[in-house]
Amino acid sequence: MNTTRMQTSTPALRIRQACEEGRLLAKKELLQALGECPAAPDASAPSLEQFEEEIRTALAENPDLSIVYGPDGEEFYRCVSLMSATYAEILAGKNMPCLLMAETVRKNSKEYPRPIALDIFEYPPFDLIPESIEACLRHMAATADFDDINFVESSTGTVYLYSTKYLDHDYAAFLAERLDVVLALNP
Amino acid sequence: MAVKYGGWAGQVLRVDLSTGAITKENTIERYMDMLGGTGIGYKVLWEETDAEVKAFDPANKIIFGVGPLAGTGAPCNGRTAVTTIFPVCWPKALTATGHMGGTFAAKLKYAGFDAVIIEGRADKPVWLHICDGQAQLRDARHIWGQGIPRTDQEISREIGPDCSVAAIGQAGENCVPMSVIINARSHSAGGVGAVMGSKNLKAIAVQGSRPVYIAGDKGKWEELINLHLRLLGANNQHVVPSFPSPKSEYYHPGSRWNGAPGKRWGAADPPVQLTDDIYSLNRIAFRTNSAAFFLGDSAWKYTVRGSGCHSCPIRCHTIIKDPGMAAKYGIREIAQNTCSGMNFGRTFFPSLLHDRGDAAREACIMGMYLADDLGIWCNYGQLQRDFIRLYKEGIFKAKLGAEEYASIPWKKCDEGDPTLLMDILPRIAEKRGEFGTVLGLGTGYMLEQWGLDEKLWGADPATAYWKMGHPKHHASEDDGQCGVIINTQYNRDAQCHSHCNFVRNGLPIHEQKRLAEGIWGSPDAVDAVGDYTPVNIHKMKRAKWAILRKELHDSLSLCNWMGPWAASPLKERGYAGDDTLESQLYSLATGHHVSRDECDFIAERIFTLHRALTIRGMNELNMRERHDLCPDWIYTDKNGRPAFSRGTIRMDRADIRSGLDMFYELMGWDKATGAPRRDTYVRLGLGKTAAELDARNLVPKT
Ligand code: SF4
Repeated sequence: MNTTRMQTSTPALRIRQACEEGRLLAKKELLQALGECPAAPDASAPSLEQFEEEIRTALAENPDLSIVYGPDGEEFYRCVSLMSATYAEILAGKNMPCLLMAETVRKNSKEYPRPIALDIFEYPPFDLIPESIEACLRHMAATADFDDINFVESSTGTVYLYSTKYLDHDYAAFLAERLDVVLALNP
Repeated sequence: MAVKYGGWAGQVLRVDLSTGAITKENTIERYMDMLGGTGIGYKVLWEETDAEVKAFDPANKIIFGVGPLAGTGAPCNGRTAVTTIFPVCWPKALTATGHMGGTFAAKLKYAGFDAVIIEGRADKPVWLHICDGQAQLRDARHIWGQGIPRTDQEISREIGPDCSVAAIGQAGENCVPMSVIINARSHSAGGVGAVMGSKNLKAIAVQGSRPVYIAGDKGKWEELINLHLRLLGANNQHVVPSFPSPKSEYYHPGSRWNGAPGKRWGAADPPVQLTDDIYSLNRIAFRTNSAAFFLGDSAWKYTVRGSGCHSCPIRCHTIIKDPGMAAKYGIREIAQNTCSGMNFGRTFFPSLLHDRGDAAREACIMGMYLADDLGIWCNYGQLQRDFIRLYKEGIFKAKLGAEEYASIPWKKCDEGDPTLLMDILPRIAEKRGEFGTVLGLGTGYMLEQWGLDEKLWGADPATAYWKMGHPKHHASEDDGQCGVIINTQYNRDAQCHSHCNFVRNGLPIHEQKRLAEGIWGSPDAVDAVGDYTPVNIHKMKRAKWAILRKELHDSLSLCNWMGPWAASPLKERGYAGDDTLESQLYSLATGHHVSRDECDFIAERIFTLHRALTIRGMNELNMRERHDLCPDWIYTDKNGRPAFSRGTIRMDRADIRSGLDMFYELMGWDKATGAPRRDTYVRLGLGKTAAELDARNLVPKT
């Protein structure tokens, strides 16, 4: 490993800086950045293996850094004190919006428990356009892997998604009504 | 030599309006065992009134009590407890308290007083001026008949703008039971305005420049305040944001922490954009926008900023500005309020109940404008729910004369036209006609007057009526048996938030259960909402804790809409708050060092005195059968789901009975009657209270 790499370009600093900006650094992005920023102006270009080693060392030496895997296995890095695991998981899943939606729904149904309003996927950090959301809903409806993803409407017509693995329809309907209508009228 | 305590101002002011006599009492000597706030109120009512006193009798007293933390630097310390024999309590007026935030509590301390006891009745309208240890009754004839903001302005003009004015509007003057006292524009104590009106007291204005001393080490005090600030979430102690954030592991769309980075206070001049440092202690006020929470996202555009009580960084009284609306209806362009006050206007209109658009916002601004001017109370939304039901079921048509019925523009109700409020609210404030008179009585007396069955009124979940003239206040819909038992205990709506601030805090259920285990001894002390399990002793420990902390807050002047701080936003603390915060603040401020349990013990004394007042007031030992009641709607489910199935808030009668058994046992109350046992009174230092009740056969024999 090249230990003379300039301070501003070390993997640890780059990962932290990205997290501070609310971004998650993918391995390929980090490798590319390291390649674009040589350790010293006259240094000969290190190999890909050397960069990978550099990243591994950075992760081992900095307990605040950790690896996040996207649903397709892609590797990302986060600084645990600057970015929550939940947020990082969302960012890591953005390449596969249908899976991201399904996993978000499952996690919410299991953990809190609660259904999730469909429109949450339009806002940061999901930032899906309505057409993508529609396409995902169609895809999920036609794909066995997403059999457990179901929807329910509140009395005002807001659509909520839930996973039947963790919530039954009646309970999801109760919770959707509570979130959409009851809380604002029950101060 | 007398011990010198910090925190308290040291004096209680007593004003006899009948004689004009103004006297002072030593707080420590007479009231220290009750802390302040409601504690002082209960003690005065116990010692100085009897069971026969009615709400509007000159013999009734109205006590404005604040606590040793009011006016200090402790966060959320701006609450004043206004305790009296409560006119809306049905079928007989009993002891209860209204609470107002704003600036009054701190100013009263700076003026040198821990409480003001008002008694008697003035023979002409007066207002009370309190300033730096002195007090004076002044002629109020020139402001009698004025609304609350005008009264505030007039008095401020007379004595200077550094005052806090707690005033009643026309509703209070006319002894409309459904009336409020308001200070600082929107901070209202509900149900007590008419007691002031019955005494011909228009307002109390306080000014002061005296310090509140902190007895303990100043460095430790500062450390504690900093810890307290770090433990704060958003309004109602919601500890996670409503939006996903890189800085937070959890988010909850139901959270009142809705100040997402990038949102704008669009009506500020210049507009303010919220930053992404969501945990910054200098930006806590960015977290809560009550207008956006209750009226929807479009309210950001109309938001000027948050406002709130003294020393509270939460600022949950959001100020909104809508010049277009003002021009359209000829009203003020600025309004501010929170919770029920924010919702006041739109909830008269069935079509706007679920609306988050312009019409709902306009109705709400109109509601705030009129209700906070006339000084009308909504009884936590019961006024509006009653109004809608009376209208929908044709009861107005049946009960009002044809002429009066025809004079009310019902079409505006159907169409969601906010000018309906310009018609109906003045009727209530002026007790005009059958409509105005009866709606202003409060639910219990309204039902009685019109021969309607209270039990049937309490059978409908949509009406949300509970008992004794009042609605539910965070019952089974929020917190299963814990909420139900709390709602059985008071003589008005329970106004307890200790329990729901915890279950609504936004953390996932496994985190809540972990915290619950630490405080109440078992993860089973809390259920996920709508997934209730049969009652257990840990839930009832939590119910007891919730009530005692409410009483503690109401006696210290802390805000029970924020505390207790059982959870926090801090991941590094495992989201734990600090359950000893109140006792630490009290100990350092006053120099009277107590542990958490000792502090809760004092709160138990205060609450038990409230129980004694109720028993004496009702002349009834059997609280279980006559007082600690639940409406039938809690035992129903519109889809027929049984209790303890997921997705229902339906309760089980036998289970609630055993919940009461457990709760009574924990309180040291007789299981058969729900009345405190003699040994309990004695243990709490209320032996004399027991003796007085015993003389009336109001102490259980066993
Ligand atoms: S949270 Fe709201 S009501 Fe409570 S002290 Fe703060 S501003 Fe006042």
